[in-house]
Parts: sequence; structure tokens; C-alpha cells
Amino acid sequence: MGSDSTPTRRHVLRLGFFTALGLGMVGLPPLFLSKEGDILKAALGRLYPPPPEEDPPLQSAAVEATLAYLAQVPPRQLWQVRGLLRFVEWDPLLGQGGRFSRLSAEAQDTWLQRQARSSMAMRRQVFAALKMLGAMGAWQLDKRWPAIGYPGPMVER
Amino acid sequence: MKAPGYHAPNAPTHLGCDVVVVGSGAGGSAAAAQLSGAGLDVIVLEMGERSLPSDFTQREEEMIPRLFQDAGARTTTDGAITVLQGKGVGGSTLHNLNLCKRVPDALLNRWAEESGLAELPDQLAGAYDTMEATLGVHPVPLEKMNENNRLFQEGCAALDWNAGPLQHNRQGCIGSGFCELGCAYDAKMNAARVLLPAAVASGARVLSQVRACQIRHRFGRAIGVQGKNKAGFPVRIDARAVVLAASATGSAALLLASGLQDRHRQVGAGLHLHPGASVGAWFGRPVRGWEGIPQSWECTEFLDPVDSAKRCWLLPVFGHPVGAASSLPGFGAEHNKWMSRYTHMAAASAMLHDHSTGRVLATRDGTPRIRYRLSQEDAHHLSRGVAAAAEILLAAGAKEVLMPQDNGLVVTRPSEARAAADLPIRSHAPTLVAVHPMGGLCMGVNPRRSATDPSGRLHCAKGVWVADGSLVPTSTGGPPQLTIYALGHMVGRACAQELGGKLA
Repeated sequence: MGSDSTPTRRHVLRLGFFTALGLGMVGLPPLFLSKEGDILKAALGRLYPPPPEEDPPLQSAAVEATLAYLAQVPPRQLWQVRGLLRFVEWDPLLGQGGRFSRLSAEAQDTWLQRQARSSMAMRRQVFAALKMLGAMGAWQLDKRWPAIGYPGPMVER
Repeated sequence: MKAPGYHAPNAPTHLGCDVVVVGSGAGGSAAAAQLSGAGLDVIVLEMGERSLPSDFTQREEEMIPRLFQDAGARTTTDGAITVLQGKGVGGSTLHNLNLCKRVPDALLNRWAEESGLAELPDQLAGAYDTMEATLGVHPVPLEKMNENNRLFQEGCAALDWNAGPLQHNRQGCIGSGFCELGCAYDAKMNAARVLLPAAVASGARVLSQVRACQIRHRFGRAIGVQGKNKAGFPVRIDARAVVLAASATGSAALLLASGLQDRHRQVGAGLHLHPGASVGAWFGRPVRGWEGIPQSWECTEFLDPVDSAKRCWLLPVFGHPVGAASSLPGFGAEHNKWMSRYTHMAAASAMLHDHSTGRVLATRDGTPRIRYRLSQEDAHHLSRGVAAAAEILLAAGAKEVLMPQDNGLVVTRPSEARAAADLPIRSHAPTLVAVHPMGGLCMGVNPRRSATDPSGRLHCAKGVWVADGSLVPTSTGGPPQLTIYALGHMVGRACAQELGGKLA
């Protein structure tokens, strides 16, 4: 490689400019890719299943609520959550080529149970983190409160 | 709403003053009130927002990100302990449950002996008197006790264990039970309601949504603070002195990010978390634990501040749905079963007077990282504490008690609860919760073993004072709020005196 190809400050600035322009034109990547939303939805559906009659709408609302919460979390923690979801989806222990979001409900439950009871602290941590995150999405929904007798806030919006 | 004295700058800002106080919680507000009352020009920096009572919506998903650091997602570096720390104008006093308890004399005497803080017990006694009067501290009237606390009281009485009422700083409390999400009724006699207005009335300026990134220093002396506002613009404050009151993790992290020389590595050392674990109890009849004043009774049967064998503080606890769902074990149908019993459940917590110590580290931008691991001995004490909490609820008539050991062990008899005391509480099963971080910039006379002197002055730099929970040399074994107010008051006076302020 000749010295001509050594990046100069101008090259870097030009690259930065065109990258920014490109991102501006195509739009910034969404906070969460749709695949991550799918993983979250699959996990939430098993961790905190809503009553059957409310199932699909409440499950979607829980995912949206979780994403809204994550939008307020600092970048460092957000990256950890993204790492967590990737681990859930691609854990080697899911089996050859297995992906969490494509497993049957029973297989997902089995995997979650294994994490919860694992002898490895890291796996228990995965379960605990997923559960705390999911609780924020699922149990902030007013529609879930009557079933547990919780009246909700006293102040009006 | 904009009020005189309170600002949220959104442009590059450069200001000068006598003292810049970093943090507006219990310690920072008490120090600021003393400093500005002494005629000094004071600026208080706060990274969170200023909230009015009408901003407290009583909804967890809105208030947790608003009132807690890292939107409530802060943990120790290994993720095993969730560390809940406040933010906002008023700091943790916005969300805490108003418990006011003095550090027992026996522990103060130990600090005096081991850290050379001979004058601290007397100084603190005076500061406690002043702060209790200022904040209107009083025991919770028995008629205001909620069912969750009443059951706890009943259980303690049935077992004949040491127990009693807790003291609070509330006035005009209607018992909504939403204290941890901020008081929509302005009944907390806290930093935001009492002390910051006093400081502002004496001329202090409170800048909110400003994150302090570094202490500016020259030749080992602080000359101000460099920060960023919510829009990302620089905020530069020139000052004769810096008072750090950014919490037991935030103050040390800010110092570490500032590049001050710390030869003895005392900045960030000696951190205690006072971690806790909870038990839930099903009574088969309505308890409605979310209603009323959350914590008004304590059990000290297993707590002696200086006896290593007794290190657990027991008290009632309860959560709104998000908090409860996170704490209950299992998932799916099993979890739903417990949630369906929510109305009929009571809960209690064991908090550990921890001997384990951790260290505050910092990222380059001053964000705290908390390295802390519970020792086996401490984990065993916590297990015993949790078992005792279960016994209390069984003695009060609980039909089933859910314990954190063994992924949600259910016990129905005291003998089973006692047996569970020998089962370990494994990390992440469940995640422990710490709401009282302390230490990190401990007081002492010896710079090799402490970060600050007995007046709160930093050993390793001139012009820096510490006025928050970082100062305490060990865990306090109880809620540190009142002690932090008192320390802030003391440090504020000492700093004012040194800067030539006129103390009342």
C-alpha cells in the first residue's frame, strides 16, 4: 500500500459528511430493529402471558410499552439489552440452528425455566434481566390491573 | 413552570459563584441552605428535572425514568444487585419513603474510635436536632398505619421481638401510598419542599438538567465544575469551593473522572449498599398493601449496629404492579397465580447491615460503575434475615409465605421458614435491591484510610468538600436519609466558616 492511500483528516471528514448525509436520507436506524421486537414479543408472551381473551392486543401493547421505556434508558444499558435479546435468540443451548422466537411455546418455556434454575450465574442473570424488563412493559398496562384488583393512580391525567 | 432561583439552561453557560454544590438531594440541599444562609453566593447543579407535585403521575413507567438514575436500571457491575438512586431537584428525597432514623450511639462511638472521628457524635447530635425540627420528623400515628404494616406489627408482637414505630418527615399526608413515585400531594417535608426553597430564598441558584462531568482544578485546588446541560451545551461554573453531594456513587465517580491525584486510592473505596431481599405472604383476605403509608413499623430483633451476629433490619415493604411483578418468582402461569393474589398479599424485607465493601469506579464521562460482591458470610446473614421476615408474617396469620431461596420457596410453618435460613440466596435468583448506598468517600483522620477529613473536606485536593452519604465509614444499618441531611448541614457550616460566611 502506498503512502497515497493513508487516510488524511480531509478523507475522514469527507467520509463522515457523506455518512451523515446518507443516514439523513435513509433515516436513522430505528431504536430497535423489528427482529429485536419479535424476540421481545416472544419472551414477553411466555413470561407474562395476558388473559386469553385479550391476548394479541395486550401482547403488542406490552412490547410497545417496553420499547417506550427503553427509549429512556441510557445508551450503555440499552446496548446491554440488545445484547441480552441477541443472546436469548441465538443461545447455543437452544439446539442446532434453534432461534428462541421460532420455538414452540413449550420449548420456550423449557428454555426460560432452564435459565431461571441454571447453576450458572450468567444464565440466571439473563432470566432476571428479561423478567424485570418485561414487567415494566406488561404490568404498566391499565388493562391488566382489574384482574389483580389494583385500582391504579389516584390522580387524573 | 419557571420559578425565580430555578433554571434549566439550554444554551452555553458560564457563571461564577462562591460555592458550587453538585447534587440537590438531602446532603446537597442541607449544605446549600447553610452556605447561602451564611451570605455566600451558591449554585446548585442537579442532573435531573425539577418536578412540581402535579408532575407526579403515580405511574411507574413515567416516574421511574424520571426519578431514578439510569431509569431504574442501575446495577452492580455483575448485575446481581439493583441499585436504586434518585435524581431530580430534591434527589432521592423525592422518591424515598421518608424514614428518619438516627445512627445509634454505639455505632457513632465505633466510628469515633476506628476512624478518629472523636467529635462526630456530638456534632451529629446537634445537627440531628436541627434537621428533625426543620423537617418536622415525628412517629407515624398508629391510626395511619396500613394493613401491611399492621400485620407486620402483629407478627412482631406475637413473637415478642423488638419492634417499634418509624419516624417520618411528612406533613399533610393523605396516605395515597404512592410515595416511591413522588408525592402528588406535596406532603414530603424533603429537600425540594423545605431546604432548597430556603437556599433559594437566601439567593442560591438551582440549575437543573445539568450533568457535572468534571471538577476543574489547578495545582491541586478546585476552581469550579465543568458540565453539560440537557441540550448538550457546556456549562462552566467558576467557584472558590466545590461541595460534592451527588450520592454515594456519583460523588466518587465525579472525582475519579476529574483526574485529581489520589495517592492512597481512597476515592471510591469503602462502599456499602445495605442490600435487601423480600418475602411475600398470602393471607387469603384483603391486605391492599399498596394503600397508605408504606413503612411505619420496624423490627430490630436481629439488628445490633456493633454486634456482628445481628445484622438484619426488618420492615414491611410493598410494590405497585411493575415492582411486584419483578419481585415475584417464576413466569407464565406460576407468576400469574401469585399476581392474582396481589390484593391479598403482604410483604416484608430484610436489609443487611453489610460488612462486604465495594468500590465505585467511573467511566470517562463520570458515570458511576459499582463493583460490589456480597461475601458468603453476609449472604448467610441475609438468608437468616429473610427467614425471620417470613416468621413474622406467619405469626401474623399468613397462609403461605414466598421466600427468595430456592427460586421461590413456599413455606407454611415457622419451622420451615427457620430451616430456609440455611439455604443460600444465590446471585440473580432473585436480584437483590439496594436503596441505601453509603460510603465511597469515607471520613477519617488518616488519609491512607479515608478520603475525607472529619469536616468533610477531601484529603487529596483543596477546595473540595463532600456532603452526602459517601461520608459514612460503615453501613448505618438503617435508612441513612436523616444522617445525610445532618452531614450536609454540618459540612455546609464548616465550608461556610472556612470561606468567611456569616453563620446564624
